[in-house]
Amino acid sequence: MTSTLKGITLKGSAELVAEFFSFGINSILYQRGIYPPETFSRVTQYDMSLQLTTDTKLKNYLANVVSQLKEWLFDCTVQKLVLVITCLETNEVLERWQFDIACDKTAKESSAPRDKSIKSIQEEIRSVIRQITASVTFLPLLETACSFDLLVYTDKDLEVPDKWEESGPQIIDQSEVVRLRSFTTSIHKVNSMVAYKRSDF
Amino acid sequence: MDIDDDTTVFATLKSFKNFISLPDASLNQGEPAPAQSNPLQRQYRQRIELLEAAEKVQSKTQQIHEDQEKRQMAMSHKRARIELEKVASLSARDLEREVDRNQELLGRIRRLEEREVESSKSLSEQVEANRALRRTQETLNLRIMERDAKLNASYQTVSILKDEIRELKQQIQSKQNIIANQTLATQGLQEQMELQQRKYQEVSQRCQDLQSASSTCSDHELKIKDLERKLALQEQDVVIVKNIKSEVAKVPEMEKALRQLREENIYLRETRENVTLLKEETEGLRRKVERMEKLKEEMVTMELEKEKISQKLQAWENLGQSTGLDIQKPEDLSREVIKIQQREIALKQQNYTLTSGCRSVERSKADLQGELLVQRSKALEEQKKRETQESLVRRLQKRVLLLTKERDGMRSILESYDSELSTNDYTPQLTRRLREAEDVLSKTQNHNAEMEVQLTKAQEEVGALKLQVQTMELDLESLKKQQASVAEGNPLVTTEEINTLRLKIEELEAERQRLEEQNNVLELRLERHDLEGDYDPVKTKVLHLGQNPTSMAKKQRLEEVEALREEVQCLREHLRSLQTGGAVPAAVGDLGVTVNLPPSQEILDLRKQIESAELKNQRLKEVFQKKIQEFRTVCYVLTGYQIDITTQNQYRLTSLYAEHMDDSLLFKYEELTDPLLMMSLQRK
Repeated sequence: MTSTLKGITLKGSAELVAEFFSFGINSILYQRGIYPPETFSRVTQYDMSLQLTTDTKLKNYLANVVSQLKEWLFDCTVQKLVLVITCLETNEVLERWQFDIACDKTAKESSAPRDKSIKSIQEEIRSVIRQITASVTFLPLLETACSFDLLVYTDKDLEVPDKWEESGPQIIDQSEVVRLRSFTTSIHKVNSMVAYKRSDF
Repeated sequence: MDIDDDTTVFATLKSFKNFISLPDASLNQGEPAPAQSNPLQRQYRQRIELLEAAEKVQSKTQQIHEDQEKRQMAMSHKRARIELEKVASLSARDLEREVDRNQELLGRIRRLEEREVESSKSLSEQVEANRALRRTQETLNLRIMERDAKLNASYQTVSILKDEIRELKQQIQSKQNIIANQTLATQGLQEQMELQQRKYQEVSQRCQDLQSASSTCSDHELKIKDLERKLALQEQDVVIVKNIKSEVAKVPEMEKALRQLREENIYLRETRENVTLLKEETEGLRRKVERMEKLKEEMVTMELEKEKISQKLQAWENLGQSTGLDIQKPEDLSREVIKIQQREIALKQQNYTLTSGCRSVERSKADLQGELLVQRSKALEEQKKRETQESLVRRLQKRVLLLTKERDGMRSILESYDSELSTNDYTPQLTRRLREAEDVLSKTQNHNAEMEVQLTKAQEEVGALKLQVQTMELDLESLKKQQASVAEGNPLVTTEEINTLRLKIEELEAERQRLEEQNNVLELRLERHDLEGDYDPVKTKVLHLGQNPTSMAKKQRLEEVEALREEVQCLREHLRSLQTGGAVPAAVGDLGVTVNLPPSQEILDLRKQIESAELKNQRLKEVFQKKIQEFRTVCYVLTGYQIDITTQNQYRLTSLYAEHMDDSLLFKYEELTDPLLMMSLQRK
């Protein structure tokens, strides 16, 4: 848990959002079968049981990305986080999970904590993750071997840190987009949506 | 004292005697005349005198007694006094002692009081301590009670535990019994196990015997299987031969069918060509039909146009009649049109001149109106000025009146003061009064002046406002007049302008709506692109980690693909080498070295097994051949007959004692019957 003080500060909000991303990405990887289910272990978070990977390489990669993301959230320079699922045989992008982040920049100037209870934020996060799990019903099956990548949309003038490089947006042509729920910590607002390639019959 | 008393007694006796002598003298002195009086009186007087003397003596004795008593009393007094003094001294001493004692007692009392106070304090403290102790006692009592309760509980638990311990001990005992039983059972089982082991050993020996027997059985079975395989192959050959025979029988029929089919084929080809030709024809016809239909439609439209044009032509032809002009050819019409246009141009020119004149007139009118307004405003201003000046004049007149009145009043006051001054001589008062009056006057004058200033200001403001109002009214009237004049003067121009403006407005509105719709569409598109992940390259950029799972998976895939390709290539080379028939182990070894395929342990074992099996096979073959050769030579030598296998299931018997070397008997072996059939004698 981030803190037991009343109110949300910018730092606390960044931590909450980063935590959500960490668990959300793990859930998506488990649900879409990118990694075999036996490499995941069950943990309890947000009053529900979620799956976390035990693969060390994947864990390291996710930890790197999430820690950098936390910094960027604190600086309010990140605009979107996108999880791109690519088919390895055809190098086509099959699915795109996009999280839009809207940051209230006035929180950077004033350091007064905002009045929003952590419980309500957790409720909202819970409903978003439930929707991600329920999205399995309408998303097409990923039959071929797939891999994923995390893209971060940032401000143009941001200094690119070590080991990070620029990439294309990896957009799906002819995609169906489904908007999911959003949640807000009163400083950061996160909108979720999923775009998948239209399966032509 | 007694002496003194005696002396006093003698003194008194003396005095008594004296006294007694005296009375005679006194009596004699006193009463010389009545000497001759009666003796009674003398007696009486004597008696009286005696009485009196007695009384006196008595009194004196009494006095003496009293004196004695007094002296005694005094003595006793003295004695008493002395005693008293003694007693007093004693008592004083006693008193002193008592006082000392008193003081001591007082001191003691004080000490006792102090002690009492202390004791009271200590008592109070003790009481408090007592109370505290009582409280502690109570708490201790409570604790004791609690402890008692706890102890009771603990006793209970102890009892419970003891019961449990008893039970557990019982259980332990029972379990120990069980264990003993089980040890006995285990012992029995161990003995059984030993028996079983012995049996097992026997059985294993039997098993080994059985295994050896089974191995021999399996060898036999293998042999049986080989022979069965050979049999199956022979049967297959038989079946094949039968099939071939049947097929051969079918050949002429097939030839007939083939001929028929060829004829049919030719026929079908012809029909197909016909069909294609017919299809082309139908397509051509369809196209023609479509063209015809189009032509029909065009014709219909042309006819309609023709009718319209003919109508128009008729209308044009009738124009001359309808317009009333002398028109028979289009040239006349054009002439008329030119005339009309010229007229129109002339009229327009007139119109323009008229409008320009009108506008100039209007402009002059506006100028004049402006001048009029200016003039009116000036007039009003002059009026105002006049009014203000008149008001000023009035005010000044009023002021003058007031001043004169004041002056008169002051003069009267002064005259009164002068008159007063002449009669009385109160100059200081008067001067003071004068000063006061002057002050009051000045104040009132200042007040007056201020009021007048304010009044003038207010009046000026009012005048200015009135001016403004009037100018505004004039402007309004002029505007109204203008509007009316404009509306009357050029209604066509205004309506035309209004119409054009309205049309412009409508066009602009339509354009605005169109642009709004476009805007909405673009916004939707933008949102859609944003949902899909599009971004503005000027403001955003997309970052990702270089070492991400997708790139690593792609690299792995490429490496796998490369490795697979190399493996495929070396396998192909290996296959080629095998097909060419080179030395297998060497080739394999060479390939293994060049390609660096690590030979697994299984493959090596299998190769070794294969080699060993091949060696075994070869040795068996050699041994078998040798044995067979021996056997055949022995048979030939002993029996004189040699049996050779010519072809499958055919045996040739040659005898040593035959007439010719080439004489032999041919036999065929059939399984069903024991004696050999199909004997034939051959001579070569």
